[in-house]
Amino acid sequence: MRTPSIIKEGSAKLILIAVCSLLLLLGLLSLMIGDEYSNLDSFPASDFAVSPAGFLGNEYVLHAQIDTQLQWQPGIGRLVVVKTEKTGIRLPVFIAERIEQNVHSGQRYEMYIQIQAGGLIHVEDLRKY
Amino acid sequence: MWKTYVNTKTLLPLFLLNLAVCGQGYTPSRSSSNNVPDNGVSAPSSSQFESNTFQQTANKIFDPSSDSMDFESGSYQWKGGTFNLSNQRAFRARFERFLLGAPAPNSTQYTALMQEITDLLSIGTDSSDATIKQAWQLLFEASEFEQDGGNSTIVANQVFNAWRIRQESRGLSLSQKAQANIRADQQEVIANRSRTLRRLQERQEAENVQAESSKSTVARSDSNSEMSYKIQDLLETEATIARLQAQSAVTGMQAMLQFQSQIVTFLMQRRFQHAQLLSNFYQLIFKGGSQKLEVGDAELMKFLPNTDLTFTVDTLSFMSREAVNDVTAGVDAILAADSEGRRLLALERVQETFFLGEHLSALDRISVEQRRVFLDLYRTMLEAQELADAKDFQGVSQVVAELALLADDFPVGRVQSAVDSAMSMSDMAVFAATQYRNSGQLDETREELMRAIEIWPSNPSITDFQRETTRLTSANSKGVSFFDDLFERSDRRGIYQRRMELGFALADDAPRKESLMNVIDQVARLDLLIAQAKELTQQGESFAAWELLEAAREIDEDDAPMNRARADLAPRVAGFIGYVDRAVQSAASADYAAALTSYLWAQDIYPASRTCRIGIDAMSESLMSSLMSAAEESYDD
Repeated sequence: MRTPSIIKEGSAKLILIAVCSLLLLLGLLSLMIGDEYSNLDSFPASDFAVSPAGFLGNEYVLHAQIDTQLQWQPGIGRLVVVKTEKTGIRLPVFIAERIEQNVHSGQRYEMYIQIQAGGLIHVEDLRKY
Repeated sequence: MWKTYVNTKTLLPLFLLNLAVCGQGYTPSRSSSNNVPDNGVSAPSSSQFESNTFQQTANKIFDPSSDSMDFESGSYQWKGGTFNLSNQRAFRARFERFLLGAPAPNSTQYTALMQEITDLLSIGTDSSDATIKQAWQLLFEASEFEQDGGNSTIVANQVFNAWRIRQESRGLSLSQKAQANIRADQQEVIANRSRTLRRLQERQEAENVQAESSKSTVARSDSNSEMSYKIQDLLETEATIARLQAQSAVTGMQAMLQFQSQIVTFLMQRRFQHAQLLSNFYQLIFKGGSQKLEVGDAELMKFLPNTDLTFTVDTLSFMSREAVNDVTAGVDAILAADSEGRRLLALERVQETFFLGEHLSALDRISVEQRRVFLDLYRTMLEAQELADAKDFQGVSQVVAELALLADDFPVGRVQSAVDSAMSMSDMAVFAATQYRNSGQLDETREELMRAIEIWPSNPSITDFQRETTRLTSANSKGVSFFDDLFERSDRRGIYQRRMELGFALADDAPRKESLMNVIDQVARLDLLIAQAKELTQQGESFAAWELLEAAREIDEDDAPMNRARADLAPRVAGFIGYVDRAVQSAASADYAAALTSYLWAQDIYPASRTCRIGIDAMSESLMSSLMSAAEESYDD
């Protein structure tokens, strides 16, 4: 009568250990793969204004609020002015047509940006926050 | 002057100058009827005023005549009566003679003597023949005074004449009485003869003797012839009596008419004292039934046109007495007004009183000194009137200052105000003429100039206008080369300062005229922008002021006044300028993103910035264009 109960207790422990191991494995995998924005530096807006040429090719994450839209060209994208979260500095950014998101004034976004030719800030990706 | 003006005809199509004029806010108001653009800015036009305002004021104020005198109709109104004033020149001569004269030295004695005669003839005193004769004798004493003018003698003569006629009338009465007695005797004789004849006839009929009848008939026939002679005598006597009665009546009427006629004459001549004396004599000499006036009705109806009164000698006496009293009261008023410094008022009363009481000694109460002051005032006012008629406003101003010293109650302010208004109107007309001349509007120029001359012929501005027009004409010959030199050196300010002369000089040179117009337009706008920037700076709107100066720099970046204004303002807007300059530099090197960023940051400093708005739009478009180009290139690849 005692033998089946002993067997059941041993199985439960094994299952618990297996679940914990699985969770640990998933955590490790998550750390290994990582968030796309998490490896990026915040955009130094003040420094960029002084010398944009020195930032060419760099990628940053930018937390900003949509201020106004300056231009839109079908098939190309839109030119938008954003206001940075920390400094309140206004910057022009280009959102390519491929990023199919509606942007409105006042919306706050976390943007993955890259400084391209001419010092123009290209938004590679963005998400609301 | 007009010749010079007409000579400018060939130079007048300078409508290009109007732009500069308009830029400064000056253009004549009536330009809408021409090809000159109307910028909605109106210059004053004298046509808005009544040019005769001053004249009306001057006529009213400078006319020294009393309101009761009407020199146009030649009349003087007094208590409903109308005296013939003759003409103004004659009255003025007499009035000035009075003001130049001095009171008669024995005026007091004369006045007392006339009063004594009047008292003797008044109803209250003894009206016996002795009293009347005493008064009559005093008339000869009165006539010896110079101011009497011998009129007392006329009165005395009239009285004497009446007495003589009365005496004659008495003689006629005696003759009438004698004739009446003769007539009575003749009537009695005729009656007796008639009675005797009747008795004889009765006796003969009773005796009835036929034989002797022929002898009796002869006797009766003789008696009839005698009676007829007596009847003829009686008729002649009756005729004589009737003739004497008629002669008496005519003589009495003649005396009365002469007397009344002389009273009316005295009244019309304003010899009121003598009219009064003669009236008094008349009332004492003629009986009550003869008081109604039989002569002078026509004259009196002219004097009192609006009355249906029956004129009597009493009426004339009353009017004369009223006039004398009025003159006395008038002199009192004159002396009172003069003592209070109201000389203008006093002068008016002097004229009235003088005209009414010219022959009365009451006017002798006005002293020599007072008369001289009134004369000065009178002459000065006449001079002012003449100057006003000649529209010599500067002269009027000087004379008005003199009048203010002569009479405290002279309305200096009113006159000066009218003078100033008239002068301003003329000046404005000249100003309008200048503007029309500058814009090439010949007819309007002539019209405004004529109006200026009409209002104030001696206006110095008209001479200036003439001189300026002449100068502009003479500048024609060397103007072209001068303009070329300035234009080559881009000396816009130099051109602008000489725009009038150059405008005339380049009137027939279309290309240069257009260049001149452009330069004038540019400098006018520069001045306007600089002035507005200055105003905004004073209001604390430094960034807005800078924006205007930026616009000015776009017109002419080398303009010295504009650069001075920018230099003065720069420290106040340094941060803004820094971003804008950086934006401009980035844009110049095709760094549109950097330029756009700088504009955005400059806009953060001055959100209303026009420069930033335009820069942002421009950079956005440039950026988008470059992105499109890049996209097309990648697509081609």
